Amino acid sequence: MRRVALSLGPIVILAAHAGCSPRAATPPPTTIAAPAPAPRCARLSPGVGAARAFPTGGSSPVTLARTPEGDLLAYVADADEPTLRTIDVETGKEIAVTTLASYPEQALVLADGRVAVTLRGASQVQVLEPTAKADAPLASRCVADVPTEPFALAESGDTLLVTSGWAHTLSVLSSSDLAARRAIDVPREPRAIVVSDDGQRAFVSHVVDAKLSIIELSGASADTGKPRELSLALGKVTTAGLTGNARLGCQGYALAKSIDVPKDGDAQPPPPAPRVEQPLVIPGPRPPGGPPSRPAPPPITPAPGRVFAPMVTVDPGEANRVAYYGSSDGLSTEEPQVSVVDERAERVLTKTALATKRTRASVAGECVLPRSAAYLGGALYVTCLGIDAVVELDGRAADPARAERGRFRVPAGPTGIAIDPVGRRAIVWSQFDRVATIVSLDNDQTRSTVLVSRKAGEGLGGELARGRVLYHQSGDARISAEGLSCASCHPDGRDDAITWGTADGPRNTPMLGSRLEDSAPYSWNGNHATLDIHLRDTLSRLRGTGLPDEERQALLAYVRTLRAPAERPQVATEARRKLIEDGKALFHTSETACASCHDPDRSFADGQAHDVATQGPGGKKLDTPSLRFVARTAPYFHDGRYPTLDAMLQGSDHAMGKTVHLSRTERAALVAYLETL
Amino acid sequence: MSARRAIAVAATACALATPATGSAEPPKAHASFAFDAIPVGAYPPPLDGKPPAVLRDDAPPELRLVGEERSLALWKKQRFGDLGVRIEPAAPSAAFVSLGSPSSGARVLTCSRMGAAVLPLHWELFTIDAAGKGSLVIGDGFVDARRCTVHVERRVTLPLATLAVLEDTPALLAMRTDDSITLFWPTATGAGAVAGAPKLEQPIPMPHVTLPVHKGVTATASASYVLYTLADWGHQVRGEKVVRPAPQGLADVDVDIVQAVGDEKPMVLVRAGPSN
Repeated sequence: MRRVALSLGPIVILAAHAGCSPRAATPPPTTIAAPAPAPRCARLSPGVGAARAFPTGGSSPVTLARTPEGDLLAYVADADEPTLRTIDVETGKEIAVTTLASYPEQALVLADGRVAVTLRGASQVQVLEPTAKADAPLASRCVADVPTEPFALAESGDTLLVTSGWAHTLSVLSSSDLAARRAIDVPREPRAIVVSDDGQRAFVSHVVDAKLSIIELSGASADTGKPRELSLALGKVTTAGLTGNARLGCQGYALAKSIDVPKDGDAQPPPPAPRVEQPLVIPGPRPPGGPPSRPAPPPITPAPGRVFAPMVTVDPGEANRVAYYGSSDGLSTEEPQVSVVDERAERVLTKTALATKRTRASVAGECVLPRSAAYLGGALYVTCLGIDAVVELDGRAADPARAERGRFRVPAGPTGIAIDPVGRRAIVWSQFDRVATIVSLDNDQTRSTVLVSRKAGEGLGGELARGRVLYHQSGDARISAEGLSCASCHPDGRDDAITWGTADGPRNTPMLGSRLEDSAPYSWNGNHATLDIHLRDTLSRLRGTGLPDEERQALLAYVRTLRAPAERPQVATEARRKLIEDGKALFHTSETACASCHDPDRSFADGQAHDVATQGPGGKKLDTPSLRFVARTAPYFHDGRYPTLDAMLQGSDHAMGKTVHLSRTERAALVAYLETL
Repeated sequence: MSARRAIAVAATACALATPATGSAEPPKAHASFAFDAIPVGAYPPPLDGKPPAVLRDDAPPELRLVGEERSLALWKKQRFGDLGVRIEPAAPSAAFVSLGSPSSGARVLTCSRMGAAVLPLHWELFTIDAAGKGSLVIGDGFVDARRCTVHVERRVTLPLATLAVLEDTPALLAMRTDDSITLFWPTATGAGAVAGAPKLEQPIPMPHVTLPVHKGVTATASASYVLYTLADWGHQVRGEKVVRPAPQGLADVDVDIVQAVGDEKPMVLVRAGPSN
């Protein structure tokens, strides 16, 4: 056991702790007996090294720290290598690489200077500590298991909050030892988190279903553990006016919070708002020559307390009316939306329904794959995959997506952004090109590109890298006439939880990851023998002009690598184990006939098309879909009519298996088994 | 330099929305307005329509009565026979004059010494002064057809803030109360609002919509313009002859009025640019 000296002002405590690196320390002037062990993940050397630069409200692949000398550092979670990169923002150089326990997703500098990182594939959180030298790797303090597929982090008081996408969980951990305090079940595919100004509530975004979860972190109602859900869906406007049909939503990866503009590293009140009384004049004077300038900062900034949720609003079209996916009334199928949530009221300020003038073709080049967001003084910056740009939006608007102030291009795959409010610059991490860009918010020409070191054998290369870019490429007429990408409907290789109108009837988007092997033929009707044929047909239905063979193969190569996360083994109670066993038995009996089509040896499919008594107007039979990960793919049935597995078992009798006669307990058992597939 | 061009130059900071690199279309230009910067004003409530016992000859400066067959001055001197009289604005403006019912739009009456008609008169005139500032005069009164005079019962002048200018012409103007904002959209087509008051009211001279303003409430409104129609309207209001080619194309003007619970005052955000 090592002895570790902790310097706390004039008092030095000798602490004993296993597994931690010793810190340099001066000889203790006083020795205190009976040292208390330091919490497992607590800082060993408080005040040493870089500290949090600015409060941000939540994590990102890029997070900022400031050295004692005042230099700004960016820690970058490189998802293609098990590394956390340290970039000196002042010099634009990578100065250190910290090897992590696994591949990271996002990082967050905690209030005490430690850095927490989510390790998505390993389902862990790692906590590191800066050393006195900024150009040295960070020291690992601890690694803790969390529910499957952690994404985002936020800090609230002495707790660390972690979203787990696959496990649809918000974990509340003790930030000092990462001990689990609560695990809160939230709706499908949670991603970003921000914490309210008072630290009392967490806001969690979801990739699918256009909703925001609100979780009480303290107080009496925190014990109930049930999140409140806030719908972010918009109404739909046609030439006839506002209709009752709500549009759907997707791509809820990011959140940002409005905070006061910090000065010199500390949160300060914003400057007095000037009165702007000059009208907006179009056409206005042209900017003078020289480097292109960016829009001036918004002169009036609202009070803190807004949560921004970038996403897309979706019109899936009406079944049997369209020969392609999407809106059938001439409006755009997908359109960027940023929902603004009034934090105090827990109400959505965004009420802008889509204007009638938005047409299908006009969304090409828009930000339909938002991935990260940051706010500064009335402006909202959103990184967009597909168009490889950061769009600057007016964060004061009812729907900032409809109030774009400008944009700047960045290398491929911008997944993370952090804003330096003092230097007025953005640090953007482009995962696909694995490049960081430091760009002035005031002048697009003032930028530096940080090339990072790459470990041999790590990261995507060649065809897979090209395939990843193609998978996320939006605004490409070869893929979709409306600028959609593969990732629009299959975020992270999964599904968008949307039932689309097609010429054959309503069709629920299937998950791709881990479901493509051994599951031929493809398409809902099973009429495509190979993935390549199916891809070509899909691009055609998206009214794309098609990709050349080489690019199609690159895209398919990437799609085949998409995998569902490795599920962390769950400790089931004896009762749960029994329930699952009972369900398995039911699944395999001829009484239910589940296994007659969903063959466990063929990825729970049979490669055949069947009449499930609900086929479309063409009278086509439907291909048996794989049941792998079925619990994660609600809604159910080819037309998405059942919101839950239990509803499906009750509703699809004799059209698909025989389950209507099952008791509630038996259905629960069958559902429990399906949840394990 | 004209006054309007001076405004355009002074508004550089607002109008400099640089076209985005790689954008599918240039972003719309933005401006933001503190709510308090918008002048206070509201449409006056309707009057009861009963004429007073004694009618004055007030001669409101923004209106003039024009005899159709002969001079009104001569008729007043002679008081002989009937005279067809037209009520029209005294100076270039966008005007709505309504004789009889407030919405009839009738402007012509017959003055006759032998008659006994006292007709209600309502008028609204939008004008732009030399400094480019717009204002709306709203008047109510009575025409005494026996004397061919106008008695002014009530006359208010409402200064309007110009929030957006297209083609040298105000395209969006506003006035407010503590809990509402009234937006004026000259010549707009396809104007509409979401939240609050979805119906656009259409009294001439300018369609307008009044939106509620409260903490926690967002209101959004949008209008489209045919630019040459707007420009023609601008020429009319300013009393100008058309000296340059009519502008082509369509433009949109969008407005958000946003006040979160934590915001002390609402914020008025305006975007304008070519229609997409």
